[in-house]
Amino acid sequence: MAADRIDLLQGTLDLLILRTLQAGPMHGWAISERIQQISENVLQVNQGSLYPALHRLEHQAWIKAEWATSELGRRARFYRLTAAGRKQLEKETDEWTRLSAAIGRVLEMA
Amino acid sequence: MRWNSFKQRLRALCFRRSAESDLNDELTAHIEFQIRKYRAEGMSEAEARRRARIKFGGIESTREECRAVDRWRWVDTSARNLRHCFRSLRKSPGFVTVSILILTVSIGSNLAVFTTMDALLLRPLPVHRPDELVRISLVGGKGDLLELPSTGLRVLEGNRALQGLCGFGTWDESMLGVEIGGNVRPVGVGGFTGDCFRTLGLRVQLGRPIIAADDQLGTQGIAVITDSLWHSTFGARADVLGKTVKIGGQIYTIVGVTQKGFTGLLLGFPREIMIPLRQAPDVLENGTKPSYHWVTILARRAQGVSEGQARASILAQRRRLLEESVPHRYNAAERKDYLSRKLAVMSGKSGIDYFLRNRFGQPLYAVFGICAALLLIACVNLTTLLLARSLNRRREVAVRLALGASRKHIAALFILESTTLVFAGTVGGIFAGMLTARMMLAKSSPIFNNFRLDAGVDARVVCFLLGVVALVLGIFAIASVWQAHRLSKTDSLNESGRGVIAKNSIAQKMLIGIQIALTLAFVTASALFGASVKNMYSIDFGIDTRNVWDIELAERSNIFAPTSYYLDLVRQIESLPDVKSASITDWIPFFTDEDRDLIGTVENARIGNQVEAREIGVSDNFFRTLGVKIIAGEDFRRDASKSGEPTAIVSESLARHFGSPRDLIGHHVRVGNEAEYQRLKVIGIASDTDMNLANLRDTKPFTVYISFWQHRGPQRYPVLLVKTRGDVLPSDAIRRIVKQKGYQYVDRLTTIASEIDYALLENRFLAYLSGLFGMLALVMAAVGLFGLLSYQVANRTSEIGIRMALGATRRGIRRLVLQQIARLLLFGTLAGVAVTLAIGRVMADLLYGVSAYDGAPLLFSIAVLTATALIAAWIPVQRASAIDPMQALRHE
Repeated sequence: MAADRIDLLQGTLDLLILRTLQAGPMHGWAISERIQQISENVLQVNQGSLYPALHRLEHQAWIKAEWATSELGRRARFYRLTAAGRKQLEKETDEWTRLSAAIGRVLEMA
Repeated sequence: MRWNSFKQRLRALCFRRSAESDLNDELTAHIEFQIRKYRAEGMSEAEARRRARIKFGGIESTREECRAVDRWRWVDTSARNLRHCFRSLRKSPGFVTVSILILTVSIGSNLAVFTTMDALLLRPLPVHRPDELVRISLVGGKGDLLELPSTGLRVLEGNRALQGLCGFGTWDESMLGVEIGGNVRPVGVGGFTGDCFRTLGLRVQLGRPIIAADDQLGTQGIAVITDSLWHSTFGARADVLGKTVKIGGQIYTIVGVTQKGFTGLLLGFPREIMIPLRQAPDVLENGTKPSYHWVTILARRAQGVSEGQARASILAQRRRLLEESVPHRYNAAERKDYLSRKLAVMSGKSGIDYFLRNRFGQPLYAVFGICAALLLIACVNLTTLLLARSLNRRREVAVRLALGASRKHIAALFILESTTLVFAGTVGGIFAGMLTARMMLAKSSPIFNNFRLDAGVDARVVCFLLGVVALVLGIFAIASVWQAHRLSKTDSLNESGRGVIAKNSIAQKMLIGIQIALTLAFVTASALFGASVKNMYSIDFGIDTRNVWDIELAERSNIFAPTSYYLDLVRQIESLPDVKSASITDWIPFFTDEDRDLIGTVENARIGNQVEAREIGVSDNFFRTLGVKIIAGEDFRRDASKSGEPTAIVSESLARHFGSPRDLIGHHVRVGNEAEYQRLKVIGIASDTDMNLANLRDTKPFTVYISFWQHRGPQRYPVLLVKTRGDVLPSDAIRRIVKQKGYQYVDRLTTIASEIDYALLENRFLAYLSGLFGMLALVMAAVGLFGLLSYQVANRTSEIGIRMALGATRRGIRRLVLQQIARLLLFGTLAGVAVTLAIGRVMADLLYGVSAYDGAPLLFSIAVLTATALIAAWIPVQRASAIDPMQALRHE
């Protein structure tokens, strides 16, 4: 498991969180689980950076937090995407696509 | 500001506890979800809990990072940090007191010197665009600046490079007796030409300024007063306009009050009453007699004319200016001398000054340099102390780091602590500094006869203070960050940080060593200056200065008083009951510059027997008044008739130069080239006198005294010398006598002893300040040593513990620490002696009767320094020898 794990690039965690929240409100643990699942365990989110990132995004007003009860009956802090967050997600997705395409081209052709 | 973010921050601020518990809940929830997941995968409760915790990592550091994200929390954080800071400072009152004291003293002394410098050298006149003003003066024989006759203004009026002229009569810095509301009090009065207010752009806050129409002969007397006089004497009431003041028997109606802050143009000598120049009291008294005044000229440059261009265009007018303004009463020689004078054109930005900047500009800059050096030393010292202190807090820092505090946070705490200290020191420094500057300027007031300069706070002083504080804070911040960095790099929890931290003590030792060296030089210098001034005061001047007064007389008009007037004057003053003897001379002891000329004997004149001697005009009783003995022959006669043979008295050393003193009596000498002095009969030999501090190497200068009664003409201004029976001068009676006779008035009145004080002013200033700074340097060195040794003792606690456990005695430990000091002292002292000897050459010119190469002052300083070092070392040495080996080893 450890061998195929990739450390997250600087700044990409924000993008992943925003994208994940597009599916609907979620609490911190769920976000990290979902990223891990979808990436088929390649991307492991370190809690030490997850929560600061969530707080940061909250201060940017891209996500909004509120307390709610989870499906398992425990109170948890749920984050959901705001309108500004949606716009930011679009922007960052666009940038990422262009970046990865460019890197891909360089890797193929150079 | 986005609203929800603001709301959240506000909430976080107001409900810190709930925000904090929110964060806790959130993170706990995360772990619980993880546990549930592991349980669902079939792990045991305990195993799931353990794995979940491991997976999560450092909860505390995550929490800390989340907190750090919220930048707005700084208010909250700083309140908490501040609380912590006060708590931790309270725990070491000694450290806090010493550092605040050092900061207070070093910031205060810098502020005091800068404020004085600002008041004396930098502050511009409070008028419109002072940088456009140029000052025009005559240059005297020794490069000194002199006033010009006001008749010269006529010539300058045509100058296109200038757009305004102001002639300003200072009347010799003296105060006039002004009658205000029935009381006579001394007030500085200045005469202004009619164009002054316009030229300077000087506004009035009440009434009207002086205008050209006022500055005419035969007009009604008017006066404009300053804001300060308005407040101090007229209670700032608006009905001051129309009130009258009486100056020299003339009545002046107050027509205006100038803007706030203006106290005249003359630096240090406020002119609080301004009158039109042509309404000067003596002019009014003499009716419509055509007259001129000696004035200082300020001119405003025309638009677009540079200072250089203005200067060139004024200098081009020199010849005409001098020819138009040469005083009518000058004889041919004086005329010729006057016409050969140079003109000086310089910036008039910071007002008019004739001697203050000249005498004190350089010393002030020097003292400022010393102050700055002292501030740096203080910073180095405080840094050492801070380092020593933070070393003692290794454990605290380690615990904080382990609990998840960031390095930044630790540094911030350290910075906060030093900022608090700097803040307290600055507040103290502002008080101490302003107080010292005020005291210094106020104390110099009697020395300079009416001198008054206010140490005001202006933008420059504020900027300087901010600069100093920023510098100190900067140094401390760097030290704090560096220390936090060092402390957090080591795993201090198990006390193994010694090696890393001990490394920088070499640099510290160097600093302390350099400081000891500089301190030794400081202390030696102050000892030398002190001894030197003492020597100067104990010079045998050959006269008895007790109860001797000199009274300067100034002419009321341009008419010269005849010799018979002086004969009468001396006789009348002598008849006063308190007066023992009175005489008249053209020489104020310790004040007047020497006039030297060649003197030779007429009979048996051999080539080469001519010698330079100073020349003093004295009346009879001069020698008696000053307690000088006539060792052969007799005193001058009180006889103003021109029929008698011209006579002279020579000093003993001069008489010896010509052979045996007694043989010279009855023979003749010639002095200089003046026809009158080619054949003077020597009637007496006086014991040697000095009366001049300009040349301390020669305390028995050759002197020839010439009879005042026989040669009144070409001499300098006459001065009354009076010896009283007690130590009180009947000054009112003397003023009355002088005034009654109509020719003159009493201008300046002091004792000979204060003339000596005045002549030695710079020396005293230097001795006083170097003493002060020597003391400060000593204190700083002590603090530095104390800091370093405490640091080392703290650093070596466990080593000392081991030594003691292995059988070292407390005496041995004491010796161990003392050895450190001894080595530092030795190194510092050797370097210090070198520094002292090196600056000894420079100091030699300023010293009298002592030398930097004398052993005694140097040994004295070394002793003082050693004693100080031992006192500073006392606490650390005690601390080291009191270390309990068990305690120390348990820490290990």
